[in-house]
Amino acid sequence: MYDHQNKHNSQPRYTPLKTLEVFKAVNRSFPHTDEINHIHDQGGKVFGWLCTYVPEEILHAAGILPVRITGYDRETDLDDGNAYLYMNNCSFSRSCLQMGLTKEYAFLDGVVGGSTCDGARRLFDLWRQYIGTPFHHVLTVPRKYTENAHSLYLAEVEMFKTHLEDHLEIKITDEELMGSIELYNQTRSLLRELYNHRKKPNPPISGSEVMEVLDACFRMPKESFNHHLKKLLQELDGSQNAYSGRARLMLSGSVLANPDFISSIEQQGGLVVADELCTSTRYWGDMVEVQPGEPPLKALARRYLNNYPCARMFPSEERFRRIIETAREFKVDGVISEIIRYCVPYSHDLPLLTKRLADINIPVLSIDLEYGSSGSGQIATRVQAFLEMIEAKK
Amino acid sequence: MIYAGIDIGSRAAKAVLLQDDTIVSSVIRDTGAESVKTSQALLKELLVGTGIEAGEIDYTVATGYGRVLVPYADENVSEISAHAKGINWYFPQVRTILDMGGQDCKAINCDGEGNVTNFVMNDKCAGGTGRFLEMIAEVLNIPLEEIGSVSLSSNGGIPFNTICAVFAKTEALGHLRKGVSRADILAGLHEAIATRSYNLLRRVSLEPGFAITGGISKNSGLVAKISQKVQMDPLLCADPQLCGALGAALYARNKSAIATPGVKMQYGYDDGTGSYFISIDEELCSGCGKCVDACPAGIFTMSRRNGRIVAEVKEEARKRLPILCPGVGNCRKLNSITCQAVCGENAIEHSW
Repeated sequence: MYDHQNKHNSQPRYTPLKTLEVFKAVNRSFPHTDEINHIHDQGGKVFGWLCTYVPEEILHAAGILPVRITGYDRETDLDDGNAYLYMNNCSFSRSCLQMGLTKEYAFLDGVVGGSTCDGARRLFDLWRQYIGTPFHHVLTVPRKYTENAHSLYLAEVEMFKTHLEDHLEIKITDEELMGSIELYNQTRSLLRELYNHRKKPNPPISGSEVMEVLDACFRMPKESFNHHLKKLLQELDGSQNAYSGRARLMLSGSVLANPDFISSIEQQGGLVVADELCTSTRYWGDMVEVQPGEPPLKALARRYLNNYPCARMFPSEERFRRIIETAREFKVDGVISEIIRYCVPYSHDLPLLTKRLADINIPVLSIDLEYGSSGSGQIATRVQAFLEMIEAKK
Repeated sequence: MIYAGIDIGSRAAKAVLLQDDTIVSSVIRDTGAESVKTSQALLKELLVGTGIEAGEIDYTVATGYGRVLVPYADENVSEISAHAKGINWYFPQVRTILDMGGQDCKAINCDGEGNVTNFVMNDKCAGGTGRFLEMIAEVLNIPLEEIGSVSLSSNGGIPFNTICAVFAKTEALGHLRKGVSRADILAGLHEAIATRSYNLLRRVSLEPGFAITGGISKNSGLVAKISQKVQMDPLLCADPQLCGALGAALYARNKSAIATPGVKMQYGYDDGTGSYFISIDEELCSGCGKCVDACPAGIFTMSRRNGRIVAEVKEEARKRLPILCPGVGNCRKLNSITCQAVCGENAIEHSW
């Protein structure tokens, strides 16, 4: 009998990656993972952070486990979230708030956010008001890269460190900061190695699998994450897996944490090889480079403001330049832009970005979705038509 | 060669049977709740009176939202690509398509070959689509086929603020109570849908060579309103509702042309005692099936490969070939008929 499904849908022989299971287990149990529970039992502290402009190293240097606050990994009723946040706030902020209000994040000893967009700001206001986390801090993040912006942001980072020190009644030394920077830089270079595998014509790891790794990266102590990622890289070096697809795709957008959404693209035969998301490249993009004799805090502030930018930054040109660079580096045939519903910065930048990519002959498919969505039938139709369009062009 | 295009839409299921360059049959019926059963009934109906049997169809492509629920299809294609292909068959000059279906609406740009170059689609909400018009027709108690012409008889429509099915229904009932004529209500609703469609079209590029496809394009009132806004007369094919199914059939024709094998399939293995392969030239094989009956060991079977029925060696026989088959020379001595003797096309060869 012949296969009545599209021939494209079948992937060749494929062995599940054993080392990926650790990451999957963390993601399945988050926010109540074994490691988080263990740290609490030992009297340790766990802080939540909300935006890629929060310098995580400072939390780590203070002996805290930083975890990223994310919403539900599914599209779900946001009754409580909707009751407190007006509908024009993005569904990510409402999904996070829903989890907070239903006490999923009650274990947190502190939350840190950035004044990056209105959705994040309002979420933070409500968090402060209704969810009794003992420590709160919001960093003011400038929108420009000027000298003034850099000194303002450095002052903000210093203020955050002082606030944290006062709250915990400790002093964070430069040596401790340097140690944390080194550890986090190791994470970044390991993730870059992982991404190098995706540049291959037939990558040994799929886009949805990479999303599992990234999700776990926000939810595990970096020490153990790095350890397990090294093992995964070893497994990939010896792996016979070779993914193929109808077209090489890049995902662009804000916070996407659901691997099932990427799976739904891959099931259509799209090969997701690159991304530009708050939860991927924008998180681990640049290294922290401490110049000789420079206070580590200054290097941190510089990196976090200059990093692979959010659509909120101005001018947008810097983000577009990086996206085009990534698209070329990973040889992508098309870009799928995912806009979390009512995310203003990303939706406003999209027409400009689409134009810039069209100029270099890369088509863009724009998908609006609720945070956590795993891809509905209509999304599948769009993705399929997009792949057919790219194939016809080849 | 015979190709079938099956379009399982959200409201209607459509099918087109293509023999080389001619549409020999087409069917439209309600999709209903069970897409798989519908698709099977659709095929039966499609073949009625054509003298063609299901087995004779060379390649079948499914499309529409139920495209994965057509068990006999060789492949599926999105309805966006299918509509572009379908309209291109009638009007190669078309560059902009508005496809208005039962639950969604799409604006598509395509090239001279019917390949999609850009598209946008309405979101989750089905307001202003076919299902919406069905609902309004019910509320106003006018047959669906007539609402278009009734709307044209209005001298001035009542402005509608919404195409949300729930609100529009309330608004329409309110107007009815105030004594507004049904023609004016329909004219207003058609205006609202046309505006929405126009806005969708503006999100792709509105190049000349404009066509409307999908079930709603049978509504003359809406077509008139849309052409006013777009300021282009739309090209309408013989039955615009069949455009997706025709496109799928054309995809089938292309795929089958690409997939036409020039392959010689080899089945068997070699080991220390010799090499045991049966090769079947799929280009030569006519799919007659005589070898299946001729082989005393019954190692052949017919199978569908690349859209054609051809002979192949049974899966379970491939690893036991020298045990089952003595080789063609020995077989000829033992049996009066052999696979090679019955194969008029000389498509079968043995290596031992």
